[in-house]
Amino acid sequence: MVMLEEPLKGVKRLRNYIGGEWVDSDSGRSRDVVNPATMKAIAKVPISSAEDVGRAIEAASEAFPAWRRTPPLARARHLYRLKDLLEDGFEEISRIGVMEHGKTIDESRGETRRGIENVEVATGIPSLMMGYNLEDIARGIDEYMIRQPLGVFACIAPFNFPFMVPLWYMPYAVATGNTYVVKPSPWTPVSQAMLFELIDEAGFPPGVLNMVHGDVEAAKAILEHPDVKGVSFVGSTHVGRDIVYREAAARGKRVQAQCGAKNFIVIMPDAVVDRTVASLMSSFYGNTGQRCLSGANLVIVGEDESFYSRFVKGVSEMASNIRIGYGLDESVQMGPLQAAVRKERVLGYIEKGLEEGASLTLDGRSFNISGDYPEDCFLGASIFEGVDEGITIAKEEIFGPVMSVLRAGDLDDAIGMINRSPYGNAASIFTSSGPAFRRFQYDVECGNIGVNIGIAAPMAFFPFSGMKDSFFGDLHGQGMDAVDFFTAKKVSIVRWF
Amino acid sequence: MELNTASAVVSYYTRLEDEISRFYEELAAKVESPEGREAFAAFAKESKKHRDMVERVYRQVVTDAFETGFTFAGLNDEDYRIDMKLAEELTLLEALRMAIEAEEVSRRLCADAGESSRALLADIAQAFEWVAERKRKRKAVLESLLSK
Repeated sequence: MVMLEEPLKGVKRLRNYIGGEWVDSDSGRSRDVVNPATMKAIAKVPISSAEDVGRAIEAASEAFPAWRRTPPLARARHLYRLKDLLEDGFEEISRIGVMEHGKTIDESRGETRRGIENVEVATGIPSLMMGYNLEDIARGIDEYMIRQPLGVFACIAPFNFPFMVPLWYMPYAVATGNTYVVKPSPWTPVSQAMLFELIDEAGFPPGVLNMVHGDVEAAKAILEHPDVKGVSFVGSTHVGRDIVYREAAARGKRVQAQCGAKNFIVIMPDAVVDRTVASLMSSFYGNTGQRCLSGANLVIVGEDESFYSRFVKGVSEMASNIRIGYGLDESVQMGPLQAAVRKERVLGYIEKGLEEGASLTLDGRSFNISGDYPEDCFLGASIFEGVDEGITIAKEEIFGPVMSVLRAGDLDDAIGMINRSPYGNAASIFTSSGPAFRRFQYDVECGNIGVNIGIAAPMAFFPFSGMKDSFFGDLHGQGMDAVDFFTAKKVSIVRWF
Repeated sequence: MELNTASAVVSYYTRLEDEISRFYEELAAKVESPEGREAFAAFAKESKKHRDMVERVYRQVVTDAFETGFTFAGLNDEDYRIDMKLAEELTLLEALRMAIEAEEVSRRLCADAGESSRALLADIAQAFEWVAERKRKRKAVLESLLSK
């Protein structure tokens, strides 16, 4: 067992970053940020007031005119500097991610890398932001399309990928000439605070990037502020659809709300079993099941009982041997849930599954922790078999290490199940068949499709898609969708006399 | 201890390669033969390069989508241990034998790690396989020095 050193010693006092300065919140409220593996406080985060948020938005509004006039290449150079600083801080950020969230070090480094990737893609803004034109749309008349920034944008970030998610948006927003305000999750704000330390070091002009810690009050203030032109949100479907999307849209803001999920993983009889099983471990139990691309329902296709038994036995054996512990131990494969309250929620779903008649063939409620850590947030991997499509655990997002195994007679049945779900974030198929893949890609109503991939996470230069109740808005995070979201297209029709 | 995650495998490999590099540096300072000194100094430098390359590949390709916790199977650090302590009075012959053993053990680790990860983490597998091949060649160079 190799235990990596904790980068945070003691309790770090977090502050807001507004107008290029570190400032205290005027609310007087704060809460502890707790390492879910050790249950020790690692930071104290302010719970900012609406007035704090107002000051951040004001700073961003003031910075906008000059930043907008900064040439795109000069804006990109700030991002190059940030990228270098992020590479230097890669390991520290990743270890902080483990400490605040509970994920494993491999998972946390993966998150850091994906965040940096978005900064890298946004540095291409001089090309990405180009418009287009056409001469002689009528004799002697030309037409141009140019992209322009809109003003202040904001992000309301989730707890599960606290470092990466704001970077799905923020680099593109500022690269296109907008200014920005981030509200990190109060559960996991420390890696974002470190990101802003690097932003400060990179030398962005004051007010271009701002961070306000807080909870519902701060989020509400962002949604209601008239100077915020658009909001990016990642979180539950209830909050995304019923609050963020409605409130933002009612005020004429642009909005992209990436929400909940219930992802299906379809196993065809011709799947390559051993590789598929390893991939499923990451899909269902990676990040302790707390990601919107996690596998949730495993659908095994076909009537072949021997294939079913062999496959589920393989999955169960591997899942029961997952090493659980503190993510800074390099041999650990699954960390704790992010908080005790999240564990309680998952336990509630396990009870519900039993009440509704599913068979708990691997019970994650009994588990061994590698190392001496309190059990408060830990949970083992669970597998339910005999799951009917209509029961609660097959329909609702559990957000924990629970696999529900369903059966489908054929691929049509499996696709039917997926499309009857209100969610449409991701779906994967494991198969050796090209026609099965094509059919799956063509007919499944989900935004992110995996083929022999358990976690269909798009790279930074592709949109992080999502459909149905998993996404509200028109344009997604990352890549060209982000460039479109953060710019207004203006058309000029030109004739000279 | 089982090397069961990408982080565990890469970090064990980098520690091993660091030891090998230090071993060659010390050896280069000790031996009198100019041919041996040159070869050991070059190996020390190359070991650092290998280490940096594997670590860089891992850090550049690792993302939240990969099966980093479940890619490697059947690797145990006990199978890849090397004693790299140089005795005070060491003959060139003894040093060469130690170096050959170190190259073989580390080659085996790289080959096994590459084989294990090929299906799911192909970039890391490729880096390990490349280093394994270099180590096979280094071992051949050392063996040729031994036969002189």
